[in-house]
Amino acid sequence: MDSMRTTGMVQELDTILRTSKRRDFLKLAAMGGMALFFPPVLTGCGSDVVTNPGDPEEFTMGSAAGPLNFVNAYAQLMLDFYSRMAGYSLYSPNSSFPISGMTQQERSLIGNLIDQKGGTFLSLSTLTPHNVRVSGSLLFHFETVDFTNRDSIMPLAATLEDLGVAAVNGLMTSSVKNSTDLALLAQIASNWARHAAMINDMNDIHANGVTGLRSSFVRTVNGQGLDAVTSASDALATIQPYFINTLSITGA
Amino acid sequence: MHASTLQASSTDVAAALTVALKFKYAQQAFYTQGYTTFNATSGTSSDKFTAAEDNAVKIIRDQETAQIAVLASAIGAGAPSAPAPSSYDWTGGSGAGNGPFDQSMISRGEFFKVAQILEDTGVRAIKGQIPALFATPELTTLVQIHSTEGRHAAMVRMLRSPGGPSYDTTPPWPGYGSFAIQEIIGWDIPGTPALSGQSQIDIMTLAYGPLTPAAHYGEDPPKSPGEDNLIQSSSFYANKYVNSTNDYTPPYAIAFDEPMDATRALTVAAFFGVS
Repeated sequence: MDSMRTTGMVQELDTILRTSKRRDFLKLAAMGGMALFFPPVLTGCGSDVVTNPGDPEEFTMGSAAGPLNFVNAYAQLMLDFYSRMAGYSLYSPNSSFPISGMTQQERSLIGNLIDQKGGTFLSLSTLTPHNVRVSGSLLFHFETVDFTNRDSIMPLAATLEDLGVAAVNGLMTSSVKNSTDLALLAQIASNWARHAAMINDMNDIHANGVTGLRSSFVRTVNGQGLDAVTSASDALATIQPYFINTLSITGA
Repeated sequence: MHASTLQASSTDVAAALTVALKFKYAQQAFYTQGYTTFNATSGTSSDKFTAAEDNAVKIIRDQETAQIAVLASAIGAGAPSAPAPSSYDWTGGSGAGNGPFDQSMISRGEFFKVAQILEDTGVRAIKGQIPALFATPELTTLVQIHSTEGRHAAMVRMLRSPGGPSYDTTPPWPGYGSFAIQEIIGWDIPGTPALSGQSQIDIMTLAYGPLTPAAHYGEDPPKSPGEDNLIQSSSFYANKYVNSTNDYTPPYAIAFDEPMDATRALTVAAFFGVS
């Protein structure tokens, strides 16, 4: 596998998913109130990847798994993106941030985002039936992004964070099939909203200083105090360039 | 048809939106009084907001005001009217005016502690009401208010870190276990003593879970997370890349904000005079 095309983080976590014993799956799923959402069909055993790495992926919004898979794919994109920002990969696990001009404080928080996007990915992967979940099949590329240049990478981080919130909001309002999945995505939506506010605030502080104007944390919120909502199709148009897989949405 | 796929009645919808509206009324009153007290140019306190704090508080206050109009309109004739500002108790004293946050309108540091409680609890309270609106036209509004609330909560937390967002002080998300409490009252547990029966820790424990949580995280076999769904959890990154332990303990819980039911959310809010 070409290390330029993946950091290996997603594949590494996917390996954990595929090789963990059932007991470990249950342990994973039991954390943070997640057992409530644990579907009885999941056993955590057997082969589970139905699509080969890099193959096209279809998100069927008419199914219960479709919206969860889309959020899962988005989380994997963000995990790969922040892993590149931090300079982590399977192939050079000890490398440090190639980006210049990031404080230690900021690096620490990007590490937290790697944790939390990975948490979303792993959680949704264990909660989605193994024969339909998006995991281990997604590959990413960021040829247009200069990971040594803060001015290249941080505006993109803000765009992807804000769009992720809007996309999850959109899936909550028009795609989820039951109130249980709605509650699950709500748990992710506000966590990602916190991430989005943080990245935007980092950009404000970088531009204006910590005591200067810091307004971007709500830059997607309208005059009624309502945050953005976007369809999965619209979100896909923005994020497709970073996927090697051709992604598609049906039944939106 | 499974019960969870049934559409809520209009009464249920109004009840869910009213929980959110009560938090919005309280937050709007809190930021209005706080802005009058601490604003950078004409604040009545000698303790003044920085330009960053001044601007952010003004933005949040105005968005609370706008959301009140949206929610009241969605609820319709049954919407409660705004409580008098004097009905709130920003000391956290349940109306007695001598609670453990008695400096909240004197010191802006204390002001932001209360802001953080109101915002974090607001996120959870609204989240707790979202499932009830499944398949209703009002769902979109509450979803939009919900992620705005997440942004407000993160910003208040970031304003409380003097050097900007920081993992070491008040990260934009609640930390796990006792960290969530220590992020507010400081790292010198047991913190401020009670002035009127309730300590800051007592209020925090309701809002964030117990100071010493049950150690069900990572236990084998795992205990039911139903013991306390407020507890946030641990870190993959720290184990893998800082401690080099190859322990793949994933950051499951911290990647998910927890919901709070209306009873508990309003119990927290009642310390500040919300009824």
